[in-house]
Amino acid sequence: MKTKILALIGIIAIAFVLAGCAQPQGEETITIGFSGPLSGELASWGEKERKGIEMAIEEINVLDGIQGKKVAVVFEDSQCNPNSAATNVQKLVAEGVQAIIGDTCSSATLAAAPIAENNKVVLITPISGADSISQAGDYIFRNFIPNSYYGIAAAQKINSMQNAEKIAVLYINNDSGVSWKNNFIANASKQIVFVEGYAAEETDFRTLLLKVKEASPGLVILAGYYPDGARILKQAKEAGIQSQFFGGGDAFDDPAFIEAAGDAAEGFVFLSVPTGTGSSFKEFQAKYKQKYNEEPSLFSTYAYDSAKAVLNAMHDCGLSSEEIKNCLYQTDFQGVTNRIRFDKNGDLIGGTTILKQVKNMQFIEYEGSQ
Amino acid sequence: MVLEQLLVNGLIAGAIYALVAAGFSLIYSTCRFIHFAHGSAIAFAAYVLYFLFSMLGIDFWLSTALAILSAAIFGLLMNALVYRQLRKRKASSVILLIASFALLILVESLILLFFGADVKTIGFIKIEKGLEFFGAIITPLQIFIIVSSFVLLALLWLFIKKTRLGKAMRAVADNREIAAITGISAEKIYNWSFIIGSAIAGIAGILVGLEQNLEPTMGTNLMIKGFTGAVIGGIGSVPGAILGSFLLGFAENIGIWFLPSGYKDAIAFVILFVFLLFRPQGILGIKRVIQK
Repeated sequence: MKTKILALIGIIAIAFVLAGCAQPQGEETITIGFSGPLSGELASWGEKERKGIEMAIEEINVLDGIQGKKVAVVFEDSQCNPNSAATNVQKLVAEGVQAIIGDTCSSATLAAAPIAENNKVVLITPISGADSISQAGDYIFRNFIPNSYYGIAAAQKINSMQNAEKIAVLYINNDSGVSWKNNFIANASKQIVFVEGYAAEETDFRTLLLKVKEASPGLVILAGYYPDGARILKQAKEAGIQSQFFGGGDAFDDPAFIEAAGDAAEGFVFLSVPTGTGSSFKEFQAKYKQKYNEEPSLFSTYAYDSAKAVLNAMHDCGLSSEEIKNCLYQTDFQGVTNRIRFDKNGDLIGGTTILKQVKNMQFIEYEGSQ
Repeated sequence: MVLEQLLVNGLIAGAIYALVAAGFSLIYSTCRFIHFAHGSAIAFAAYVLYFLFSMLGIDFWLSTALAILSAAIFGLLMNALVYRQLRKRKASSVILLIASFALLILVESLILLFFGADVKTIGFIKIEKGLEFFGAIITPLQIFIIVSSFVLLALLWLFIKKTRLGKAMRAVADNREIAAITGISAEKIYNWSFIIGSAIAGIAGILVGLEQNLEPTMGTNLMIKGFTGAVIGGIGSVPGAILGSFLLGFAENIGIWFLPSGYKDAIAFVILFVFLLFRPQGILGIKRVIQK
């Protein structure tokens, strides 16, 4: 028995050693990091971000990398969990990366930001919305529109909608949802009859929806993510709620949302961002389709542009995080999503929103007020 | 109208918790340890149904029957492969509890590995507005959940009270040593407890899967609620577990009418704390010395 145990330990040890040796250690590779939901409920987002980033890396490696060295990405999975995001960034910083793309969900990004900032490592989030990210630090960048912009844009669109005299707001109880809700309420001119937050893991919304029904709003705003949004829509339909549902963000702009919500998604309107604009997007779209056999999502394009921003900065200014950071503040190029420039807080300047709706189980541009 | 709807909501939640708690209590009463991995039988059955019906396209009712059967076998395997081996080594119930946590995590991780973490839907029931019943809205599936829960629990009660095997289970639950003297094999009873308890949990998993979609952690969440219901009603007492679960369902839904819905879990846990502190035997339980 003892010999068996020793043999087992020996085999495991050898396996680990072999696994360790199998990776060619490159002094010849430049590594950047990524933290995002590669598994978990929101894995659909993380997967698309990964694809976008890999395209950017491929493009630059085909041109012989930066300063003759190939670029590689270490993909870390956070499941959009703040603790995991913090650990991931900690780990990446310890490995010596100078720039990290991540995280996806605001709460995760905010957890990771102080670690990146204290270690003077660039952290650029391709999609997080919470306003507080703007003040997260000198090394923290956001290649997306903040919730202050989003909430105002949504309020403006809603203010002009017909059946929206009384509105209810349901928001996910995390940094992203709270931030969005605050911005929206501050700018909405309609009467708000009901506001309530819900826990991210909640699955039974029946009584919450009963409260919504009692308040009889013409429009119900959802400021959450797609798994919870799908559940709410399904249960609302079953509860016989007639109000129109309006989604506050790009979180719903994913096929996984329609899959989860099924019939209940029909007619859902939400405020998203264009996946891409201009001729550079058309090129990107064609290459992406050829490589991955699917349409690119906004998660891929924004991640792609974020990677591009970092790679351009490395190419133009240098490989250390300080050089990258300084370069990013001076960045100005046409990405596939927007013109990429960052303000003094590290937030993307500009950006547009677009109203979309679900019709015949597909996403299309909003066809007019209902 | 509001009160009726709240009661209905409470009934639906309570019915599901009761199914989970009843199976769990049955296992606890005979085996005398907290089988937390009971939650994995819930998730297991739901995913088997998803696999057979949504992925392979097998007939729905056949898939359901197979899913329930596989949950029962799965429960049996948990006992045979893990718990019995530990019992042979004279493991205490604390060790079995820890093992059950490990099992739960293991099974969830395996489900995650094979099926991925995104939310899955079993698209059998069309989503449409529910029917109106005395001022409350309830969908056909929800009616089915409540009715089948009542029927199953009634059958379980009959089984425990009237059948030979049921009586043998009560005997082992009462006093294992004396039951052994009268010729009842404790191991056989353990096996049957796991089979029946896990089958009921499987049914709960299928109902929840149809109503609310599937995700790998669905078992853990329900297990915690079911456990709370069992503690409230009297752990080790199957009728107590059922009573406690319905009470929990009502308390949660009426509670979040007044409080923000984010407090739902907080309500459940506060009730659990209160009972553990002041009446650990629950409502129907009898204070008894823990059997070793």
